[in-house]
Amino acid sequence: MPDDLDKRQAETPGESGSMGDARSEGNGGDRRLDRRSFFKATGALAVAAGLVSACDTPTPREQPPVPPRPLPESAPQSRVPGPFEEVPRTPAQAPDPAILEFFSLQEARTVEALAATILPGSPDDPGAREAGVLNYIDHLLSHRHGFAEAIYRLPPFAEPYSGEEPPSTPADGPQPVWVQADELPRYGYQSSLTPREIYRRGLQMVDSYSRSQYGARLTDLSEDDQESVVETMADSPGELFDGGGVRGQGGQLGGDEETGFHAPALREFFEVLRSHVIEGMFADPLYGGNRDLVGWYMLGYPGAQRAYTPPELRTEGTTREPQSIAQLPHFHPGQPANDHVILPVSGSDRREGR
Amino acid sequence: MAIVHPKVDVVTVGAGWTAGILAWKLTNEGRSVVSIEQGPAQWAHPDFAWNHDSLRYSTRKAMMANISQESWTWRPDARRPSLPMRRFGAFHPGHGIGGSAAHWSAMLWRFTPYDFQYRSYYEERYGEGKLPEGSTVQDWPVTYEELEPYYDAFEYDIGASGRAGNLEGELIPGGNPFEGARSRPFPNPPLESTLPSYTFADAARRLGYHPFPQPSGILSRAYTDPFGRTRSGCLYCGFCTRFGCEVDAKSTGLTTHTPLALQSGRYEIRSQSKVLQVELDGDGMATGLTYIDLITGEEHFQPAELVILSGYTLTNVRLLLLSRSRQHPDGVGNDRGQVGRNCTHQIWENPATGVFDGRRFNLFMGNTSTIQVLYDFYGNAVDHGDLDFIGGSSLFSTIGEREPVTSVGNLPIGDGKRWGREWKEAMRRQWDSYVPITMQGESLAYRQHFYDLDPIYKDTHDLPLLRFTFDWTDNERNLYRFMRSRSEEIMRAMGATSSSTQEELPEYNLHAYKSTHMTGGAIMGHDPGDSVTNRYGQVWDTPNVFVTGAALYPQNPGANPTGTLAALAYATGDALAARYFRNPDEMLD
Repeated sequence: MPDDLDKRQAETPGESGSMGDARSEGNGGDRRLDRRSFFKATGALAVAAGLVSACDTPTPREQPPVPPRPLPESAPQSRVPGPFEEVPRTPAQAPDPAILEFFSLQEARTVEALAATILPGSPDDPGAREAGVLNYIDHLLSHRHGFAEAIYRLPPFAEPYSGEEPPSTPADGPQPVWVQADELPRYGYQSSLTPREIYRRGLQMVDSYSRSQYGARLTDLSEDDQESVVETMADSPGELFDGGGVRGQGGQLGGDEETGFHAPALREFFEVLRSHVIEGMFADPLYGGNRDLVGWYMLGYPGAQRAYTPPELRTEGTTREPQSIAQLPHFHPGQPANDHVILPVSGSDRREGR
Repeated sequence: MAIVHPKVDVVTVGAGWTAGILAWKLTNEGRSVVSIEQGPAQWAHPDFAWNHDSLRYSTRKAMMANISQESWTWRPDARRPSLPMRRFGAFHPGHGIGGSAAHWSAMLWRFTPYDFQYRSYYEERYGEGKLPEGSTVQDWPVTYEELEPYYDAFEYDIGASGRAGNLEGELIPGGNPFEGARSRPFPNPPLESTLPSYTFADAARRLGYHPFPQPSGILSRAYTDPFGRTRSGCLYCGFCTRFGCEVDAKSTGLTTHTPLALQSGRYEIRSQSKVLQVELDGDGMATGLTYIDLITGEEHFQPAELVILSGYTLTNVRLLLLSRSRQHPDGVGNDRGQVGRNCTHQIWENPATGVFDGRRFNLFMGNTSTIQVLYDFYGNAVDHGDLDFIGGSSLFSTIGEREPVTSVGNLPIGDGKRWGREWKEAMRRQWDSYVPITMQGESLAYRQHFYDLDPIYKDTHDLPLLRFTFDWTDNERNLYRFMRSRSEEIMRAMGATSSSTQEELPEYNLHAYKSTHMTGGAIMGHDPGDSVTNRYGQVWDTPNVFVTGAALYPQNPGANPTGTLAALAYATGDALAARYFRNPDEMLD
């Protein structure tokens, strides 16, 4: 492992530099890389990108054995909001699909192409594009750096290592928490990146890969080639736990050995995209996706209903039309709701506390 | 300087269900009670009236404790580093009035007589060598028979739904034949079950097993409780676990005990207020709770005669460890090093999942209690003579309340691509046709599994997080394999078009939800040498501090903990009301 660390330092640009510069040096032109070297290259990029934000990075020769971690974008010490107060309320209306709040136009096109590859569709058989998944993701990322749920973000963040022993750390510097790389997935989500950073860096990695492999950015590729790119992302190395669904709740965002821990691995970016495609396709349309309830029609899911009856549970299939929360009938204690009378409930006579 | 409030008789950590039960019992006796609750005030009306939002509640965990302020750290063993749970995974503690029970699934169990005599049972039947190495399981200081009147009272007070299997020793067909004797039938009939649950029950019966409907804390019909409060029956709306119930059909502290306590005028809840520690005097007795008003950031002190730690398991254990004084240098309850022992979790897995091509089961209706269950593999129902594990598991059919955002990610069932046209096709074909069989398995206590304070990670008030050191052992892995075979057997009999099996118990991890049933850490016992509290949750070394909830459990049965922690709170409430205040600060016996 010490070898690998040395290599990272050697590839770290001394002062300024950007992901763009590093890319043009690292895998510029249309020279094709095999998959493995691609991952190595993006890994080095990731480390570089992470260090750039600590502006006064010393020259490689002067660096301590383990470089101090750059502060994550929204760690409590940095400039963005502190503790998360509340999960955002259900929106009263969907965001305007004509406005991009976060992505650049080109980023938006790339996200949409990726989403439409993950969940394809057509006007007759809507998929992520037709459902407005892009709109959902863009709106999500426009607030609180993309955090929509409470996340524990106090440092230190984990640093992966491979081999028997963790690398030595100077006693006077910051003390990272070293975790064996293949053990890390058991600890679940450990990323220091914000969702915005994951998208910004992930999209650059995808385009860089697309240019190196196909000589064009993702949005200019044929559908087949776009599928190959997504296939590469989905199958890229790195341990991954059961992402998505009630058990996984999205993918591991943190690093594997190949990329270091400062940028999403491609596969992690794929998992984030996939979980956001699921949310954009199947959450209530008030969140900006699932336009015209196309996701729910596809599944045969009636969405927000006030009540079902025991005979409906005992019958196969349903004739109920899907509806959004916005279409739910009003509901007050003492009034009928569907075929039930709603009895007084707790709180209808008082509000204690605050 | 802290703002000091007038002294009250009792102060509780949190305004969850056990706090509500104790507040109700004690205000009935004229005592004044204050609860310090870190979450918001919340009631069915209006807070839950428009909550059919899967993204906000199931994905983003709107009802859960604020993990950005305080989380928990985990490591698999003492040689490896601990890391915090940065986003909700393995368990889901709630906050706000009603606590975790405000969003519970309402699977309402009594533990069986065997659960309370765990160690004796195995030693007497199989000899001491049968217990796995390192196991620290022990008998409870209470028996099923002693708790039965409290289970019974609680079930009638909330209007439990179910079918009795054992009425005063007589076995009733269609109920759970392995349960302890009940003095009365359930006050309400069982809930409706999902369609595949009936297929599961038929298949199980053909194999000689004994399916029964899930006992539930959800009303199956309108019910007028003993206090004259009438509530609606379940609407089967499909937004239940991780949600508050908009019609109060799901029993929680909000529906019964907390409002009754508030009606007395002697109960106050301070919401958005987070307890930092138990204050102690020079004699080592508690004087009250220090807390932070999360809105203003001001520190407060609430003095009280009696302090009740009625938070989530992990909250209670952490507060014991954080509350130190010269008399209790290692924390309240920890004078003999007992705090943190017997940390357990639960095996909650789907060993087999079938797909029934062309069927539409309406699994988005109903809830987690709309199922059929088997206790044929639960603990003492199994002969462990030739088996390579002890303990057991319940096994149950497919729950309802399937929500797209939390389920389509699991598709396709079996082999196939998780994206692209293949994935989309699987959604169309399988989403309402796949049928898991689920197990909830016992988790034994072991010497090497414990809670302590993390040396590195802190909360936003700079106090150490609670760390748990926990992993599966061979006993759990072997139990899992046994249950996998039973699940496969039943799935075959159910006639699925295709099915897929999870061969082995996945390694323990922080990210996959298991259950919110973390237990132990402040276990109850017969004497101070083997436990933190007595049978009433009264702390041996600080007798004016009581602990409620699953932190008291010596080990973790394969059943949801809520029914038992409520029954224990009833017993404690009665003992406090009738006896404690006559001789304050003395141990109850």
